[in-house]
Amino acid sequence: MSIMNLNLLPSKAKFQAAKIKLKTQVNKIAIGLVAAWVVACAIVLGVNFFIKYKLANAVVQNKKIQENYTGLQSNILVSQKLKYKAKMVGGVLASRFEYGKAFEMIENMFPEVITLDDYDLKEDGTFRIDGTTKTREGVDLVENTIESINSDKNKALTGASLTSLKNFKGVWSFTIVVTLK
Amino acid sequence: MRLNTLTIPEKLFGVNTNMMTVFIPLVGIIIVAVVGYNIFLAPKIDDISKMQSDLKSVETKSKSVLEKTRYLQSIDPEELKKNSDFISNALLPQQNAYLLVSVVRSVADKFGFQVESFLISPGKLEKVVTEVKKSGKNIPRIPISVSLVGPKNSFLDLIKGLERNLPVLSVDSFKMTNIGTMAKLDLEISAFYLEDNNTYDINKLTLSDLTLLKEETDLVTTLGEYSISLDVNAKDNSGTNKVYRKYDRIDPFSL
Repeated sequence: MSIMNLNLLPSKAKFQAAKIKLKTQVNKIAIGLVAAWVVACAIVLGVNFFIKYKLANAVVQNKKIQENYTGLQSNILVSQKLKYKAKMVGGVLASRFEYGKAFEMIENMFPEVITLDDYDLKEDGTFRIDGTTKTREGVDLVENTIESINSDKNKALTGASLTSLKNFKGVWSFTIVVTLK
Repeated sequence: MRLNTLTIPEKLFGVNTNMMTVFIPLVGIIIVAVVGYNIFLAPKIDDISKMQSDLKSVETKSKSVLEKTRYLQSIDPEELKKNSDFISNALLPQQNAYLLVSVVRSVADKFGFQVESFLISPGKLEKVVTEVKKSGKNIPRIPISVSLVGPKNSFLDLIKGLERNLPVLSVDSFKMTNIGTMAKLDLEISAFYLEDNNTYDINKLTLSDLTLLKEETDLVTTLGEYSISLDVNAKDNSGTNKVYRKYDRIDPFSL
C-alpha cells in the first residue's frame, strides 16, 4: 500500500475539498450552458435578421415586378377578350353544319349529264333532291351513284335512296333522299 | 442543516444537503434558459419559419408574375389588338335582327340574289341560345327566316358565301325551289352575338390563362379566309357615331 493514497485531512476539510471540486465542475457546466444559450441566441437572431432582410428585398422586387405587370393591363384585357371570343367563335364553327360543303360534295358525285334541281333539307339531316336527266344512261348513273353511297364508300353520307322516277316527254325526273352522317 | 425556519435533513437521497447547494446556480441557469427560450427564442424561431414560408410565397409569386410579364412583353400589342378586332367581326355587336338581314342582303347581292322576304320573330330572340362545343357555354343567337331569289347556277356560291362570311352565319334550315333558271331559297339563318361584360382580375390570371393557344391563333387564320360583306362593327351601324338632329316639323311626313 502506497503512502501517497492516504488522506489524512479531517473529514470537514475533505468535504470542503469535494464541494469545491463539484462546484468547479458545476460552474463549468453552467458556463457551457450559458455559452450554448448565447450562441443559440446569436444564431437565431442572425438567421432571423438575414431572412427578414431577404424577405424585405423580395417584397420590394415583387412590387416592381407587379407594377410592370399591371402596366400591361390593357394588353391583358385585349388578350382575354380575344381568347373569350375565339373560344365562342371556335365553338360556333365546330357546332354548325356547313351545307356548302355537303352540296358541293353531292353535286360532284353526280356526272354532268344529270341536273340537280331542287334541294330540300329535312330537320333529321336528310336532303330530298329532285333532278333530271335526258338519257337512260343518266338514270343508270344515278343508280350507280346511289349504290356507291350505300356501299359505305362515302365518308360524309350515310345512305341514299331513289324515291321516285318518272319519264315525261323523254326527260327522266327523279327524286332521291340522301342522309348525312 | 437549518435554512431560516425550514429544517432540512443532513442527507437527501444519500447526498449531503450542503453539497446540493452547489447545484442551485446551475438549476437557476437552466430555469432562466428554459424560460428565456420560451419567451425569446421560440417566438423568433417561429418568426423564422413564418418568414421563410412568406419568402417562398413572394418568390413564387414574383416568378409567376415575371413569367406572365415576359410573355405579355413578347406579344406585339398592335397585332393582338388587330386580331381581337378581327375576331369581333365574327360576332354581331348587338342583338339586332335587322343588322343580320343587312348582312344577308349584302352577301346575297354579291351573288346576284335578292331578298324577297324576311321574317323576324322578336319573341324568339330572347330565348334562343346555342350551346357552344368545348366551352359548354351558351351563346345567344339571332335567327331569321329569309327568302332569296337569284340565278340557279349561283346558289352553291351563295351558300358558301354565307358560310364563309363575317359575322359568322349558320344556315339552320334550307329549301331550294327552281323557277326556270332562277332559284328560290328559303333559309333560316342565325348569327351570334356576344356582349363582353366579363371583368377580369388580372392578378388571378395564370400564365396558361394568358397564353394564346394554337387553336385560337389558327382561328384567326381560318377567319382570315372569310370575307366581310358588311362591317357590323363600324360606328355607323351601331349608331354610336350619330349626332342627334332635331327636326322642327309640324307634319312628320313632310321633308
